[in-house]
Amino acid sequence: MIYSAQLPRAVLSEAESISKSLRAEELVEKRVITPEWYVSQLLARQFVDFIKSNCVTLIAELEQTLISKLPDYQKAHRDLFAAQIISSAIEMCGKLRAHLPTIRVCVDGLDAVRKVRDIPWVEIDWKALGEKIEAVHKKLMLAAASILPRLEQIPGSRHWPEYFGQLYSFLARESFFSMARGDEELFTKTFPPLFASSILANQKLREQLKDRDSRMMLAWSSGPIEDIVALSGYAMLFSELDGKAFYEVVTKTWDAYLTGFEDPTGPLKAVTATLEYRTGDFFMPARDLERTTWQQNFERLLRDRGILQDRYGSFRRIEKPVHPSPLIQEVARAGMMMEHAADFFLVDYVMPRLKGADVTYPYTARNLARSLSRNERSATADKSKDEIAK
Amino acid sequence: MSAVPRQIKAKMRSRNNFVADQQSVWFPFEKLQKRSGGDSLLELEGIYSSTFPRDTSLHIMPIGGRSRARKEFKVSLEPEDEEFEQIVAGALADQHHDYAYQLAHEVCDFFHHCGARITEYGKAVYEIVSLNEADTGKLRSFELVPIDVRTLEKRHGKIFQIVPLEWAEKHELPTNIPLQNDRLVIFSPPPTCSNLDEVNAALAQLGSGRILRMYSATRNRTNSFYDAKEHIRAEKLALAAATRTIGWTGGETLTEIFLEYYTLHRRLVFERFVISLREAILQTLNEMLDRVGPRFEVQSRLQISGLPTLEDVAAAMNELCAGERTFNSILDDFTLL
Repeated sequence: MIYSAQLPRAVLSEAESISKSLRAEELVEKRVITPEWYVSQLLARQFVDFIKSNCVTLIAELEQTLISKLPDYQKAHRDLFAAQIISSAIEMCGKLRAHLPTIRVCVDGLDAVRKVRDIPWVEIDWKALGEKIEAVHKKLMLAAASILPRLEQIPGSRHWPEYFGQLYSFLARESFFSMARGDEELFTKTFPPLFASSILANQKLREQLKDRDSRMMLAWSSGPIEDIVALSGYAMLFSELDGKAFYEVVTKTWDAYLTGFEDPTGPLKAVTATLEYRTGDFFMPARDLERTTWQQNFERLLRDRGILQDRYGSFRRIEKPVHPSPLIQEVARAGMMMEHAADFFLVDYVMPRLKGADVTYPYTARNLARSLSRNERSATADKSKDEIAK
Repeated sequence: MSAVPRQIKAKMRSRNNFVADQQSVWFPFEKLQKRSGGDSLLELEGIYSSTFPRDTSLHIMPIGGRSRARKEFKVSLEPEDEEFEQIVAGALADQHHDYAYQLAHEVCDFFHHCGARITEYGKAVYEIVSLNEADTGKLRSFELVPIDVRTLEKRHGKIFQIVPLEWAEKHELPTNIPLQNDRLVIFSPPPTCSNLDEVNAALAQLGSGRILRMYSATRNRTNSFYDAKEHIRAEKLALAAATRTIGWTGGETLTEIFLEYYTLHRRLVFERFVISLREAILQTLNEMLDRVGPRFEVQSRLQISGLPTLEDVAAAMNELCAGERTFNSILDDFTLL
């Protein structure tokens, strides 16, 4: 009967051993004394042990088999090999991160079978397992950041996947989530190479798509530029929100990039024009979906912290500032529904540098600039009134 | 040599000024010739035959009359009578002395010895020996003198002690000593363990040198049919089956054969056996006191309190079965240490 239960090998061995013991008991007593709950508890314990050993083994394999080879490949500039390992390992990390909560629920369910508490039980340190996966993930992202610009230079082939695009996508996402987690180290190390790669990716896509419809070409090729501007905007918001130095990294990177041009306003004008065009364009390439994910995550984070109210709730005046930063107050007031993180960067970084230039900004950025200016004036007026009243 | 001396000088120990009316005699049983067809003799070859009584006796009462785990443990005479308490404690004592006896200590020691005799031989027999003043003949005390049950025979309702010829000639004793039934105290196993003889008979066949002999006989054979591990396992299964009603496991946990739950269940069965045995001994002792007490113009009975009871075992079994208690806490409830 135990063989029809399709138990894992380790649990089946325990079941066989229990069965043998029960047969011995029956031989002695002419009946089985041991109750069913005890047998269930023993099997559940074995199940938990099986799950634990598999989780530990998988993470150990990830660390020992995949990650251990990365430094050698990086040193030897064997970037395709490194990219393959990074790609597989990120997938594995992603699966482990996604399934760990489900596994935990399963183990908690098995724990409920535990009736007598002093029978040895297997404890799983979920926090340690999670931390190990996060540490591996971080290592992978740092490795990806180090090889990304070089990968762009490897010509595409039908013999291997498009590693550059794949790793770019991973890194862009990680840049956002590193800010959400407050991981300054990871952001500092991933944003600059991502920035460089996004410029290269934009050029590469324009070259690849030059024979296509110009609307489609612009929509696809502008993706990396829109990513980097959006991330720059989020860096500003997260820095305001948590007092971190993300935005400092961003401005330094942009400054360094612009110093390479005789007319630094040129690239900024091109970026602005692209964003203005794309704001009114209804074509939605894949990167737009990714940025929507970032926006939804940011909204959720603000809502979790009590900064953002339910977007569908009735309008109510915010009596007390939810955050000392005027930028965050603006987000709380208007909500993120019609705001783009990129607009904050445009207003703060681009607009001052293109002052007086004949540039059309996206209407969302113009609205934001007006709103921020109005808030500033209002705050100044309130301050003056306070001083007069005094 | 049919005549029995009217007064055999008992081992007087510290009571040299008393005269004992002991009828039975002591002699080394090994000197007794094996009698054919006798049901009192068992072929005690196996190690379990000696370890079973020893284990049982160690569990029956707290060693030395004290228990750290059992703060409420108490042995007393009800109603209290200090003088009679000393007489009873002295009667049960294995070693006699001039200073005061501790009733709990002597009772515990007596239970250890008596329990071991019952489990080993199926019965424990003692002779009530009166200790009278030598000059006045006045009864001053008494002793319970153990008689090896294997030396006894019952003929036509009378009990005789059989003394080996060699020993009888050497010590000028009769070979058949008739014993007065009313002076004997016979301790029997509790009615719930009436198959103790069967258990002992089975244990005598187990734990012997058979495994070693089989191993020696077959170890040099290639492709030998003999599997010592299976033999050992079979022996242990036989041991467990033979002791099923009393729960004794030969001093082993047997967890390599059975589940821990079942071994704990057996432990409770063993506790039940030991408690039943303790209660049976106490009952016989009190019946003896009912007989002896009036001679001292006292009517007191022994009482033992603060030890696990049969009700405790039943409750523990129910809780164990329902998984309501930790295994360790169940075990802790029955420790006497």
